[in-house]
Amino acid sequence: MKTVTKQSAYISHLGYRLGSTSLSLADLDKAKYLHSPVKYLSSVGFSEIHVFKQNSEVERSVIGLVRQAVLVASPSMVVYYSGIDEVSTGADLLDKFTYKTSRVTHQAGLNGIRQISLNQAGCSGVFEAIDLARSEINNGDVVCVMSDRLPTNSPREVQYNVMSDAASTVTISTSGWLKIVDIHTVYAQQFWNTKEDIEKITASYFTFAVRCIREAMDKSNLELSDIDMVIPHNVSLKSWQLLCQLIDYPIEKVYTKNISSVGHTVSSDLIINLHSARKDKLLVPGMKLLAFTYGFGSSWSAMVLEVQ
Amino acid sequence: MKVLVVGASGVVGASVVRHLSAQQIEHIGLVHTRVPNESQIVGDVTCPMLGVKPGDVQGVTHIVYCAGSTKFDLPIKVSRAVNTTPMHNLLSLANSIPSLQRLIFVSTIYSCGLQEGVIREVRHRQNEFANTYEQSKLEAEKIILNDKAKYTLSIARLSTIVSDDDGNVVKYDSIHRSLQYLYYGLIGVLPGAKDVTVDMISGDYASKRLIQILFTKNPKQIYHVASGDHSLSMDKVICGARNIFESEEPGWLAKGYPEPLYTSLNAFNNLGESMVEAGNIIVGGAYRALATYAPQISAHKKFSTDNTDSLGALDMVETDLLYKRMVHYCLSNKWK
Repeated sequence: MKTVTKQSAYISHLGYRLGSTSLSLADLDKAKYLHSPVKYLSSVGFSEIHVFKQNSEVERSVIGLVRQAVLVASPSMVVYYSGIDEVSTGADLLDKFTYKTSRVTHQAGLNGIRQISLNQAGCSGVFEAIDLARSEINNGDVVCVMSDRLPTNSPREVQYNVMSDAASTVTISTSGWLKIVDIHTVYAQQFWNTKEDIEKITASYFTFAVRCIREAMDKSNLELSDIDMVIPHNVSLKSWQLLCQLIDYPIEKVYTKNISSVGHTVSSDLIINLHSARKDKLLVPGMKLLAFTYGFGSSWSAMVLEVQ
Repeated sequence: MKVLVVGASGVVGASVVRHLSAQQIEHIGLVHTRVPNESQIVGDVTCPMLGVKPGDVQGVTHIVYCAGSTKFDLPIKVSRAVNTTPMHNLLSLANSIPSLQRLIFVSTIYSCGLQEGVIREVRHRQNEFANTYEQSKLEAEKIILNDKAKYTLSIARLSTIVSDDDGNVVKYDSIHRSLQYLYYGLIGVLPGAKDVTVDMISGDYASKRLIQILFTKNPKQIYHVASGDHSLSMDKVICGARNIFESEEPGWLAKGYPEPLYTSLNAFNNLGESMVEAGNIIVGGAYRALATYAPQISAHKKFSTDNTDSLGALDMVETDLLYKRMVHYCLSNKWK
């Protein structure tokens, strides 16, 4: 019987691009892209978002990011996550059979390596991608790619959160500056029909969030007091204040800086916030981080990380 | 003996009338808006002498005062107008009836406000309250207890009446609405803790106890008509309801609504208010149904029933059975 030793997984590289067009809450309100009043959204922490005007802008961003990742890694695999399904606009049936993961892998000069495409994990997608990637690092580095662009002219507010477009990459390796201690996800597939179940999801959001975080702490043999910083998904600041009160954790230790200036992207919040916190020199060796997100579909994910 | 039941068309008053009739005790009911039947008179508790003519109450030996509003969310001015100031009208009427031997004022166990621990059958001092209903009832108790009456005077503080003995709900109120929100998966967070107890009784039990108090030889000043030691824990209330939903509608648990998370009252209120601020009428509505009595279900308290117990044993449907019957009724009727 072959014994496989599971190696520790690390984040070795991060990159991201936001949509090049910035829009303020007032701009969004004028364009009728919001459901809630500007005053309310502003009071819960939002200020501006960033939009990819065209799909070609996303494509260029993704290719650029993967090429950057390849410069510092030798990937044996690409995991591509996209939370927003793209609808092919071509008239020919064969237009339906074009594959963006293959395109990205090819255009990044990675012909021949293994690739996996993920979707349907909502805003938890990056956690799913990283979780899959860390089980594959025995064969080499894995580059996870995330890209999300809301359809042109679609509303930009989802359940009291204002949405940006973004693309990002995270490379998972056998060494790096951030150790992945554990990833824990609580799935609630009963809420698969987001539109129909939106109020039930809203009512149970915090219940599952607290459960997920507590279970993640238990699995990692940690107490919340051991966590030096929480890396949030960029949903409303208000929801983080409420969650912190429920888990008895100081909001001051949640890295909320980007909620206002970036807003919530479907799957790139974790990457953006880790990148930003590192750039701000807030992450020092030995620190333990807790990243958290929720994705429609529904799942609540927590990731424990340790700065190397 | 002739009993005047003030508020005879309300949940408690109507039940008292039924039990007086069953025991063939002569009685008249004072009602406000309804067209009176032959054993009823029309009155208005906000009017002097409760708006009744002296001839209407001739020969009355006992009064049970059950009138008032149990709405938790009235402005204090309105709550006082219907629950507190009518006490002066009641006492002036009572003092004008030469044959009167005894008066019982029906109050609430929650006139203790936010006091915690064992709540005894004694006068309460001023306290903080969960809602204006509690406050107006304590203020009414004070007026009653300060009266120098020739007749004997008792206060019966009733627990939350959830249904009759069979589980039939006469009027859906906050507790029933909260169960409805639980059923639809709209309550994710609750204030308090699993082991906080919730006191509840049936209307039948309340009525039988009130009649006992009316005719007991040595009445005490204050009675708690409550489940006391038999009250249910929040855990039993919530899990009990969830189990009933499942047994009545197999597959309900598979909908996957999580068991609510217990948190502090402060965190619960912040969460609920944020839903209201966001304009979420559904989840915000669930919060509002709970908010008016949330302080009571988040505090550890137990109601002493020593004075009531001293009246003698009474057939009482076990609290957990009563609760099951009530939840079954709500579910069967879909809260309609």
